[in-house]
Amino acid sequence: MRSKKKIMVIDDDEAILDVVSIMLEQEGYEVIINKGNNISLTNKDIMPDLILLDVRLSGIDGRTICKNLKASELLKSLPVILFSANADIKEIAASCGADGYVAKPFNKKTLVGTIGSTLQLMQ
Amino acid sequence: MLVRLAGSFFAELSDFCNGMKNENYLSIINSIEDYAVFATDLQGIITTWNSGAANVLGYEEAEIIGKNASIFFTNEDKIKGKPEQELAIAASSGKAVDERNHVKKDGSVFWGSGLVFPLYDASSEHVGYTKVMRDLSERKNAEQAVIEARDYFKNIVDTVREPLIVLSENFIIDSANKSFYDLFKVNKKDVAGISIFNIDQGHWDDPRLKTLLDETADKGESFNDFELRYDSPKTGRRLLLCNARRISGAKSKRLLILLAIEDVTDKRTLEQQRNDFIGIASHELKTPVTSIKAYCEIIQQQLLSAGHEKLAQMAGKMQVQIGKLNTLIGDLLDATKIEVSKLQFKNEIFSFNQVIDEVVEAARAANPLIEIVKETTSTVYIYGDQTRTGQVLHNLLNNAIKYSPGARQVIVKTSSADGFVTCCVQDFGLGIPKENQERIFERFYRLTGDGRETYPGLGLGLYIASEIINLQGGKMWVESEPGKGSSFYFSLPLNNDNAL
Repeated sequence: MRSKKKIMVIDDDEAILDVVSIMLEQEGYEVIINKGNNISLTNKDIMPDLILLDVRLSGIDGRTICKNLKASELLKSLPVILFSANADIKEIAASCGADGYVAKPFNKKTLVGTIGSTLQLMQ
Repeated sequence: MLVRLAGSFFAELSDFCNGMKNENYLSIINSIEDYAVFATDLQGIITTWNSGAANVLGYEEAEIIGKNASIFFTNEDKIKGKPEQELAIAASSGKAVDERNHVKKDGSVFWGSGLVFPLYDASSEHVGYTKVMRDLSERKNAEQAVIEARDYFKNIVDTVREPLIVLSENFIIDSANKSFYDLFKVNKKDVAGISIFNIDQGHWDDPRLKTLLDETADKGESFNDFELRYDSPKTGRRLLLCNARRISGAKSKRLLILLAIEDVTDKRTLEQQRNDFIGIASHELKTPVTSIKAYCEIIQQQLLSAGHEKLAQMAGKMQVQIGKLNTLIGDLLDATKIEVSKLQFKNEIFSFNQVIDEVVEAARAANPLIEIVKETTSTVYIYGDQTRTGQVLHNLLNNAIKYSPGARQVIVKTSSADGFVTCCVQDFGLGIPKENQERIFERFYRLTGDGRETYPGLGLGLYIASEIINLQGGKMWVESEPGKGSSFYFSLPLNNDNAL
């Protein structure tokens, strides 16, 4: 049996982490939640298949995380989707090399659709 | 009798004053209409009187001869003993000259000059005085007007909160207003006669400002809004906007430059805080809306799966309301961005028809009871912000539906001419009275009356829509008749060759 795809959701808002987890788990994903204060991607066992990353995190900018990931030889192929309430999310995503974006507030169809199509492209 | 007097005119005058019956002198003195010339005895009793005196002081010769000349002094001067002092000075010094208020026969007071000379007879005995007077009211009034005008403008200049400074040759400080001294914490004497570039330890010595002032001095070229970052121990770090004009008059060869300084430090800080607020508010308000909306969607789905259709419907309605809340937050943020000129446009060439198709389809899906008729021309292309343009059309369509209770149709039409595409959204609803039509594009303006109180909204939608159109080089207007409906138009410039 093929293992579930792992999605790491990075957001500093617990309600967002919770509700996104519910939505993604309903769609058969395994969700790793992260509040953005300690992101470690060194353990291959918990290496996600995709990162859903909030732009405005407490103490750190999601754009910086995305740029760092895309600058890493090891991790640059790991798809990153930015999500934000910022009206300029499309440009923000493009400027830091993200693979996709989801504007807040979102609906499940958009969220799941964007994640699904991004994962498909990466295969 | 011969009388000695200083000066040729007064030497001749003395003959008249001593009562010589020389017709020539008499006619000369009497012909002086603007000057009062009269003589007195040692006690100041008037002995002769010319026609000019009658003009200036109002008394005829017959009624004034024999009266004391102190009658022309104000009571205040009389109390101070001025009439006696004047005669005493004339006797001891040979003449007394002064300017003071004088009283006419009718009691009115005028400002006049007076020259008093002692009169001597042939045996050099001091026999009296002669006084020559002129009404200087006009000159005095003109001088007073100049003083008042100067004080008037000085008060204005000193009241102006912006520091103002006038520079003369070599940018020497000629004068400055109170605000200047207050802002830069200097005294008038500290800066008078010093070049602006040398005051406050040379903190004004900015080469760019010097170049601009040189051009103003040499060519009369004014400049506006030059940003000077000023940082001195006295003022701290300030951001100053400087405007300059050459103000030397055409007759005056003197070079004068007015430099107006606006301290925008606090304003810029406030703007920055407002901009930060926009970002924070966008995040802080939209984050809970995001999770509520997502939870609601999950609940709706779960309820449907469990067969609770009515409850699922309610959850669906909740989502619609959350969507409205999100729109309101978006409108408030957009309005704030427009206020601080921070509304950003992602300009690209796009198909205007495609925007119309998408927005109309979304409106049809959301309002199945309304027939939205689309009458568009062939495809036109625009260079602008596709999303923002769609937002405008979405707003107009929503308004058309919102203010058309009972109506069944809304028409969206486009036409293009003279390099512009025009879009019209026509409804058959309440309409807008003529007197309100111009104001509906103002921020927070809401129509009242005719039951409109029941329609929700912040009065921001049309303001934002018209600003989006204006900022893209277009315009928005309305044609409407109460009871018949409204047609909202907006036009936008076509892309150069109307193609992708």
